[in-house]
Amino acid sequence: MFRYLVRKVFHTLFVALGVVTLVFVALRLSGDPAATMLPGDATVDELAALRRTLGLDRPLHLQYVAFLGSAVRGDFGESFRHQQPAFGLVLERLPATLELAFAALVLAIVVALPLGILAAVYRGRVADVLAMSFAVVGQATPYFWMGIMLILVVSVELGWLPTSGRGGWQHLILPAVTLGTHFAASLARLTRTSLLEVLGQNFVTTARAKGLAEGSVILRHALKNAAVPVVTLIGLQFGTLLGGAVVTETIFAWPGVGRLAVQSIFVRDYPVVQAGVLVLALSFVALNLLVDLLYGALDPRIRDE
Amino acid sequence: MTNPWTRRRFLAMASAGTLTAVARPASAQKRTEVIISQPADAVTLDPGRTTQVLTVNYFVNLYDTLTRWDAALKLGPGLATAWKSNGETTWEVTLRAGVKFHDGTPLTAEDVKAVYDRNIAPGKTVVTAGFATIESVQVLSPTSLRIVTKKPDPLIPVRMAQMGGQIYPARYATDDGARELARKPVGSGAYRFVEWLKDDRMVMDVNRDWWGWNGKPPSVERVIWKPIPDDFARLSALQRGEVDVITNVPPDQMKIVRTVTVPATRTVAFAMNSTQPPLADKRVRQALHYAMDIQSIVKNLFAGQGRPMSGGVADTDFGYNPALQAYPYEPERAKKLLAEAGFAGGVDVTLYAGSGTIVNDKQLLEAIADMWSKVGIRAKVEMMEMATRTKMVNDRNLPANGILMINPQSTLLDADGSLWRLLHPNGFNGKYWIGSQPGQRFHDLMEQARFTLDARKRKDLYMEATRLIHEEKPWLEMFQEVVIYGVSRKVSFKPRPDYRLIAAEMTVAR
Amino acid sequence: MSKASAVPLETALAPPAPRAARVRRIRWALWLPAIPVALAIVAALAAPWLAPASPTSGELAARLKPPAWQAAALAGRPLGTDLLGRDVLSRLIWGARVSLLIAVFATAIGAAVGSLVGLVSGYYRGGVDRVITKLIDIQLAFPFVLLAIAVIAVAGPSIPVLVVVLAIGAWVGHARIVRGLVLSLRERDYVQAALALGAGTRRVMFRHLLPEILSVIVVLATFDVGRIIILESTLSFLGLGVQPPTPSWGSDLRDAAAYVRQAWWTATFPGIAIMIVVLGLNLMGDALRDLLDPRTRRETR
Repeated sequence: MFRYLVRKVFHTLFVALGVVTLVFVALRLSGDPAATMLPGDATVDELAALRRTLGLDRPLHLQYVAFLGSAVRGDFGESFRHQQPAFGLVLERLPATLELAFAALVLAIVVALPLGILAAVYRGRVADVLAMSFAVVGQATPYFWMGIMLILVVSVELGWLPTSGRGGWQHLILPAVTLGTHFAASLARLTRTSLLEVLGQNFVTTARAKGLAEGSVILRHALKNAAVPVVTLIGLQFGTLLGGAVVTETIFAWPGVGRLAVQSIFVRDYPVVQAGVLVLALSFVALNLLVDLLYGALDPRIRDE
Repeated sequence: MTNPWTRRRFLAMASAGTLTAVARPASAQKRTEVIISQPADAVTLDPGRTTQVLTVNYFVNLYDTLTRWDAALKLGPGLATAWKSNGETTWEVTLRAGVKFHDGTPLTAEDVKAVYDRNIAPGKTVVTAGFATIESVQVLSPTSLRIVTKKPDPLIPVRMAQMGGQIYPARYATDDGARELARKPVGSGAYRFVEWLKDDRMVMDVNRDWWGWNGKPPSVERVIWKPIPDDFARLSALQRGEVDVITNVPPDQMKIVRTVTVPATRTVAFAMNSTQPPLADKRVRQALHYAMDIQSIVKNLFAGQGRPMSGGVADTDFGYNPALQAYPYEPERAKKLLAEAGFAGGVDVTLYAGSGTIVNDKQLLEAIADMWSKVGIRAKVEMMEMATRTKMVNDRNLPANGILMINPQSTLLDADGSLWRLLHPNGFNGKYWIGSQPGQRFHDLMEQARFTLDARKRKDLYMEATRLIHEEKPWLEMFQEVVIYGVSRKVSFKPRPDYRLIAAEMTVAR
Repeated sequence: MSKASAVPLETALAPPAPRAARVRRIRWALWLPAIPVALAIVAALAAPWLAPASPTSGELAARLKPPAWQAAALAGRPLGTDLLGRDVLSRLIWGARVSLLIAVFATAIGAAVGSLVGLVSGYYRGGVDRVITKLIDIQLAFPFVLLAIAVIAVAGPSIPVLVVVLAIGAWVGHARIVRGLVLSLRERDYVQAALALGAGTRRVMFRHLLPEILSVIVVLATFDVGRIIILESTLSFLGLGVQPPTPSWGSDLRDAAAYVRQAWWTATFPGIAIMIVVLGLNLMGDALRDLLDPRTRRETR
């Protein structure tokens, strides 16, 4: 188990390094932040002076080394636009994004698991069809469309919930629903499928033959086995969730990392983008690490791979 | 034919009553507050580090300038009570006595000098261009100073009021100090900084010791800024009463909310690279205008919120020429001009714009391209990401026969701060039009006006210069913008043409 | 993240039922959702002949006119006009062409590249496999939307760039699943037998492994097309999608979203188009999976 853990941690670090390098290269290729910061009538000298101040006039590989060196210490430099430590800016916003992501995750699980189980148990009947219809419709709706529709119907027309911004739990509902729907849809379908697969297997038939109550069969034996792929999906979908967060945070004026990262890319604020992407990637990787460990604990076969 | 929403509305009305009271926490409004929503949050609270219109709105409430424009755009005293030119390159400025910063320290000429020195130094701020004519600032006493210019500059009083002229304590004029200022601003303005949760909200409380109240008790005690980037969400927030004032209302959405409007200092135009044929020929450039039905565009795409113009200067600026009208829509004349110039077979150009330059920018380009296609002007439409567009501007990279949407601000309410700022040889459009070059009539007129102290003479120079623009059309001229604010019933204020939202000018119904 | 799964979960099987009845049921499940997809394909192919008006040229004065069954409608514009006076129906038809083109090409490239990489990685294992899985993990950890923005910012938002970016988003899923599948299939008796008999690598890969994974690839690709249509609209939301005046469902939906109150038809029709096509694709994918699942076919070996 220990060796497994160590291997996974090394893997994580490697991935982190890869992500960071990818960001570095992509950003440097995509444009010059000094040009985006100055008003249109800046002279060539002013641009050069600003570039010097921002440290952009040094050769690329030196910039990379310097960047890595400070990144390890948690120093991503100062945001070009905001004149504040980039890492601090990102950390400030992280709780908001995590709050949203977890709310969406929890909402999705709470809705999707029962739906999937119901669909599997009542396979082929009305409940199944309804549940799966909801799932496919959910997957077919773009995030921003759902957000706008929810604001229009629930907030403006019905007046039940606030339109945007972060605040009490009421502010969390619409963004969490928007963000969580795609995930809920795929989770529901996956739950149904993997539960069906498990229900068809031998040990379930045996349990039924032994005369165990149907409920017990489902809950204790089938679900535990079906849990594995579901847990995996949660880990993987976290990445998509973060992607959807970008759009959701913009529509609902949610002060999270996704929104900050997008804004920063649009103005080429390298330090913030680097810090933001790394933080998001690390969250994703950390979550998957947890999932892997869980997986390893649940299924001994995996550990010996 | 029934409105599909009516039934829902009825249901909503029934439920909203009970649920709204529950859903929205009872606001403990012991003070009158105004909640303002713009599409973007402030980038920084250091007035020297950005010229972004939306961020300037924060500055004008937190800080003061030496002179300032009132709601009718008349220049008046601010932190300075008197200013006098000696006729050449020196200005004597007297400061108001007894002004204190929000942290209690007194505002003196030393602070003004520190700020201006920082603005003049290359590379320290992004507002250097507007202060470029200043040679030095000398402190004569705690309440008086002398500004020395390189050449006679008639615009010094106006320069004192522009962006970047906001005064803060001298200790923040260093690199480290500026960093702190960017987060925790200290000014002398009508409102003091309380807190800032980025992208979430910023809170300002009234400064009862502000010199500008003039005996009238302030109506707004607290200002809360809540940035909401998405147009739909921002409008919905106003509809639901979650915010009181919103900016950047798309003209199409005006019927949904209560609005106030005023013609503004900004114009919509397109810079053109006319260094090569076909755009090098004045007749082709004129044809572009005749082939465009600007009235229809303003009426249909901008809900009538815009004033078609010609001559390059908005009616809010000194140097505006009221005799010049926008070209009428005459597609036949356009075709004739093209043929005369030798392009009977049509021309090819490219229309560029940065996404988000103005509302409906993409639709505007599409509409123009569509209209032009009817007379043989084939325009390719290219929307660019803002950063790419800014890079094109700063690198001076507009391709030949490229036409780029610009939205020039008038920084000085004078043709010098709008028209000349961009058409100056160093300015963005400068290298794309021969008329900007030294030795050309337009260049000489504007250069001369910049250093002429006699107002009447300046006016004559500007009249001739604008006539030249009207004739030569180095820019594709469109219209003067109209500022549109969405307001709730609770708030009233006179909207300013210079896009500034000054809370001290608002009144709140209790 | 990079563990071998016995059989990829995407191909999990329903409990057995009488074969003939099941096949009949599956046929319905396949043909019914195929209808909207087929309609979209027809629209895409026949756009120049099908569309009643120009999708890119409009009369400003005729903007935001409602669909034919409402009072203020304009003749010849059955679904109304958009905010620039263009015919909504024509834009819908031409938009099918653009949206499907982008989605199909991106899926095809992503599936091809991803499957190949997965095949190689799963078959050879060892060093190659380790490197490839690391690459996959790095890309998976990177928030895709941000990657898309960065690439489009460099290369400009043209249709070829969009296709490439979306293909980049698609290949990883294929690679991972094919890899897992190949890893397990590799151990099967008939493959081992072939290898023992001295069959060359290429022969084993293409004659024995590929037919098995092809069905998985097809199912995945079906789901991907739908997913990419949605992604395209998300990118349009950020201003990075298809550029004007080219119509596409995603960008039309984005532009019209703000008008949903006063001109509901401008947003609703592209929105419905996206939804029923993606719905159709997803249901087809489900049906295909049931039909093509290797387990079914293995039973008859």
